[in-house]
Amino acid sequence: MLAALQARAAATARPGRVSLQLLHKGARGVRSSDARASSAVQPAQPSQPAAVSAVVQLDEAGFAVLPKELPSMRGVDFKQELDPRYAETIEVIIDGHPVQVQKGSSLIQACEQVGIQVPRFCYHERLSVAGNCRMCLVEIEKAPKPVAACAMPAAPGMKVFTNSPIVKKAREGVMEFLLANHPLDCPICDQGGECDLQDQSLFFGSDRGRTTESRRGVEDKNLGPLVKTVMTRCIHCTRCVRFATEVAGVDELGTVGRGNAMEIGTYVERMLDSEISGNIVDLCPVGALTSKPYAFTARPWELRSVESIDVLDGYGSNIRVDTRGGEVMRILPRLNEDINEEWISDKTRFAYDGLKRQRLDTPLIRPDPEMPLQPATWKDALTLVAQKFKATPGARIGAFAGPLADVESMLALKDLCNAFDSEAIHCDVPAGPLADCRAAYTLGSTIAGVEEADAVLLLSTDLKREAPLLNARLRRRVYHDGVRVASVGPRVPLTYEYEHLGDSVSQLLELANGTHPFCKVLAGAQRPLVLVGTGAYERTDARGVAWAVQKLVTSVPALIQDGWLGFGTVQPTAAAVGALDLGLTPLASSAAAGVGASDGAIAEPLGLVYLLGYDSIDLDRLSPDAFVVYQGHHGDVGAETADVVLPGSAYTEKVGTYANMEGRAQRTARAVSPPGEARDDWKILRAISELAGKPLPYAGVDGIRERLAAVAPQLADGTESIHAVSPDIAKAMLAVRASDKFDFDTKTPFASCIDNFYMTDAISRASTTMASCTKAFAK
Amino acid sequence: MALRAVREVRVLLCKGEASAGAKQFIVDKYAEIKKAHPLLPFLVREASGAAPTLTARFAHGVEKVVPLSGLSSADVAKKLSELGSASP
Amino acid sequence: MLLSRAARVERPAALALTRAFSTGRVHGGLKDEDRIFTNLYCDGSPFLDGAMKRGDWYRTKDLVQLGPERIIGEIKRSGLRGRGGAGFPSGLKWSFMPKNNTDKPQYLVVNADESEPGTCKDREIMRHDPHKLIEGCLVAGSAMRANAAYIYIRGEFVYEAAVLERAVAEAYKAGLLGKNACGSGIDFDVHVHRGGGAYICGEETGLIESLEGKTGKPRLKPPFPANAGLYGCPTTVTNVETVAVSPTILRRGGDWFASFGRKNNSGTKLFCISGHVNNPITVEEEMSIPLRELLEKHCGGVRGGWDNLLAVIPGGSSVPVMTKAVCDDVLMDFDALKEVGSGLGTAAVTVFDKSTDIVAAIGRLSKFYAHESCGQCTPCREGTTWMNKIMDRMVTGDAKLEEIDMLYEISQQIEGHTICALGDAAAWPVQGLIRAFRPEMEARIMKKAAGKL
Repeated sequence: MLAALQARAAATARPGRVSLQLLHKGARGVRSSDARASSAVQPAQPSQPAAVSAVVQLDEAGFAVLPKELPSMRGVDFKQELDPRYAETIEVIIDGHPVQVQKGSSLIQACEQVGIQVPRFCYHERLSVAGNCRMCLVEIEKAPKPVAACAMPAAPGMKVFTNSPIVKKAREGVMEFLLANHPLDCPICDQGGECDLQDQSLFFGSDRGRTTESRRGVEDKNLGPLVKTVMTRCIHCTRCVRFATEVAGVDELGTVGRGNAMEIGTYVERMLDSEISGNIVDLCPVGALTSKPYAFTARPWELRSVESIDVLDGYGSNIRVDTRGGEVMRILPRLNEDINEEWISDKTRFAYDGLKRQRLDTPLIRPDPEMPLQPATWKDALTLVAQKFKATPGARIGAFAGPLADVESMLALKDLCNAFDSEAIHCDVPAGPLADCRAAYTLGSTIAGVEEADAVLLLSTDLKREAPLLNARLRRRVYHDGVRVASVGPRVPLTYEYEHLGDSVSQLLELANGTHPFCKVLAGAQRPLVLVGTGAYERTDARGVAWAVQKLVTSVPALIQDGWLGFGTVQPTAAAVGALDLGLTPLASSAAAGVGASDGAIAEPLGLVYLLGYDSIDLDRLSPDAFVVYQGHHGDVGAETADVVLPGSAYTEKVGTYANMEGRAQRTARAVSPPGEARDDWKILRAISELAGKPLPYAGVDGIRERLAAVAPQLADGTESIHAVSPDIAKAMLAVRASDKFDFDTKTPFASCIDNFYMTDAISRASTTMASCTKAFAK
Repeated sequence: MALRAVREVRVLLCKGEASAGAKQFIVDKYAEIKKAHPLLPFLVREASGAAPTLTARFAHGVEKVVPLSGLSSADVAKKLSELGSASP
Repeated sequence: MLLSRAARVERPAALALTRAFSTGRVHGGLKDEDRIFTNLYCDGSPFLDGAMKRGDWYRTKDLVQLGPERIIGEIKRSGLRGRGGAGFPSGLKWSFMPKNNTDKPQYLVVNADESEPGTCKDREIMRHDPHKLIEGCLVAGSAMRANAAYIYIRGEFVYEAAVLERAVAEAYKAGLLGKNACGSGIDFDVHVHRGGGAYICGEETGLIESLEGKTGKPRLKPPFPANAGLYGCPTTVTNVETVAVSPTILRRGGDWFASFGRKNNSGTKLFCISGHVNNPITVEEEMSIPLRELLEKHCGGVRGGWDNLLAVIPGGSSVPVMTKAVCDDVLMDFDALKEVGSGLGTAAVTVFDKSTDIVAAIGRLSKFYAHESCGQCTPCREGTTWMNKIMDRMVTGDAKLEEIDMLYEISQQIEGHTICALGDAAAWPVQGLIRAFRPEMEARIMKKAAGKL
């Protein structure tokens, strides 16, 4: 029972929230005689290697038996654990136990390193220290009054008491003050069940309140369609203010007023104009800031969580999908230091309602081009498609994989089409430098590595909207370390200062030739970084641009060196890297190509067009006799034009591999079942292959994974690691450029590949929340 | 190098010494190959722990796989031309 | 009953301690030739002409050229303790400033945000004797190796700021400030900055925040301003009076200054006496002067005679109130007042006679603190408001007897748990009231309950 309780607590612990394992110390509480040890020891947090097992032992009397020694852990942050700069330790004496903690930690961090969770509201590891909730007060020997553990640096030999009577009284006092003006909203507050105030008042507060005064009431603020505010509940921890200022870079939240009349808000009525504004919902320890779309829909204890990956952009944020009764109720971030830390973008967080609308749940066949689609059985639909495969010559078969396609289904699609002698398997990526070398289309420095760069050049990218969390990392680099960032592309606010060099191809050519003044900066940097957005290749002169980019990258030696690959493409979709890894062909620039054109080759008009979630089809270019098969999960543009619709699964309904922009392969997990008759995508393709007489050589999950390991082992090993490109290979392969003369279009400015951040794929287009965001934030 | 019948070439490399020859081959010969066959997809992928192989895909999805572990650059070139001239 | 240890000290023992430290003589009766602030009542011109006649700016160059070590040594010898309320030894405080810092400027910040209720001494200095302050900035600033001084004057002091700015301009014009100030070889600037009207901006780090242009919310300490203060540079924040007396101390010698007052409480002090006295006044007197002598000699005595005295708040609203019994023979200095459970603070003596509704008076102080709380930290933000509301009910008697203890406990929950001292300052008057006038509070509650109020 205890183990189950603890496991449940671990599973439902919200990110950014203190996970109070104290609850599960024992069903009947702890022997008071063992006051010191009992109060000091708590089982370790689940995300860290714990020296103490999570299950608490009970003695004969039923009381919890706690170890005499504190579990000791070095390092909370992966990077810090490996970084020798942070390896030095000092000794402090916590609750009578001498322990080694990282030098430079504050007391609250020191206690956390040995497994003691000091209660807090305003302290957050990723934000600056505010020290204003006063909940983390601890006693230090020889100090006249208790000190805030979050603000006091640990000094060698310091004697700290985290559970002395003074500390307990202080906590009770602070708790009483917080509750004195806090509305009795628990029954109607969405935070109930995962509320820091509830939990900490249960453990550290007194059993009753003494206030008989009337409470203050505060007007709610309008922060937009995503964040619901009930400011009466606010305890003024200022986490949201610090997040908005420091991480999101929008100085829109602040405090107004003095004393008890202090209010957190935007002062003038304006919305939080940031793509990562939804994270303040996680940060807020009480129900002052909650998710508007999620309001009043579920309680946290009803939800079942599944760890998965986000696919609505190319970042690969780790998420937690919370479901209830087969329905996705909300999406929360999962900790991953190397990718998204503890944040996710608003689209990732709020587009889940699109999963329930416009779903394809039954196979459809259009009997006649003039007639609408009719429901059909799988047998009929698959047989029809198989027939078409058999009947169409290979040169007239074309396949297009969309932005949400997983690696397994793209692999099956490619194998199927290759079996029928078709080479036209395309992915929804504009053609840039040749995809022969992985460095040409991945983020070579890795996401975490971006924070090592000392000079950054952005090309044709609105990084804030294409990869908002990458932008936040770059912002940290700019303001902590003063790194120079320059951009050739759209002049957009990026939340930090950067030099806008221009937006035309001419600047790129100057940079490539080495004549631009910024070239000196790149040449002088030890770890320069060039980030290219795919908008650079969505132009008529895309091949010329790719040529110039390759010239630039190979002309600065520090860009490709041992231990640093400073060239990266910011892929905006989750399928891009996986597709290019597998060998799918990118599309030529949209202006020049229509359906069926690949780089260089002139295709015949296609007879069989297989769309795997691909909705950017150019209807005018379809030949009149083309037979369109759409396999996907939403009834978007592609399904409307199709002759056969095969319902597939969305990312929350299947186990699929997706490679993020760094080339890291991660797997989604199955949180809910696909609706109606929908099936896993690669299995549909396998079924077609069987009915068409050329069965693919894999029938089960193991089989397709084996095939994946043979085709693209960097995606198949399941370790979620990045397999870096060797610098000499990168250098040799990127140096190979077409030596044609190009006509550069100097009139068209470099633009971002994203037009509307909130609607970039079928799921977000189907979401009402995203629609209200588009309306609210439309520029 | 005659690679007319080949539709796609995949070179999988590992991180260790076994792929050293293949790596050298890529570094030396990739430009040449690409010049001769600009439209041939010549995918080079690296993964630690993978066995270095050379795969040529022909029409109708037929693939021929050749292990490259421990081979020198010249050996790899030989293997590639063997694959290229072999009929699918 | 949760009474602090100080309250349980028996009165005779307190007196014994007081006498033990005594030099044996009675302090008070400061002679005119020993006064530092000779223009306190504006008998002469406050500006440069009058100041020079009074001896300001005389051989300041030599004072500055004594060098930081000798200046601080002299201040230490004088036993000067901070006059802004905390009473921290000034020589020690000034010595905290870095001595070998080459990459950042260092600043002296003068806290002229005189907002402690009852205090009106800095105002007199600034409008009648501003050059003492300005010369003090130069001398004290050079002792701290500061590059510039910022005088943060409260926004409500319109006239005082005008006088001060004119005095600073005069000093610049006469070459006493700026490049090669007074010909001493050091460059020193003085800037006057007007505040916006918040009590919390009188707190050291709140002042620095306000000076930097942000909301005056105090910072956490550590880091201390001597390491990271104004704009992140080493800074010392001192009170006007402390800075203004320093040139005179240097001229007349630290020993001279130390000859006044008892041990560890040396020097002269500006006392601002207000309230129910016949002649409210700001007067400079010797430290350790008996309170009774101070009131009777300089203020014409308590209204209605000494026996009409109810209570005295000796050091501005933040210190606990003293009953008449304590006032009979208490000395006015830091240690003596601490022994009786109060404090010298800013020496703003507020006198209450028997016509005072003492509960309402302290209630008004609670309202002040609730209004002035910056709202950053939980105990102060919520606690001061809560205490204010309870005090409002105590005034009308709409309370229960148990709530007196509850109020005391709430004040203890605030005290010591806040970022800055405003929490303590809000707690102490209430604690003082409960310790000293509990019967009055109980009587009122019982009267109200019996319907007689």
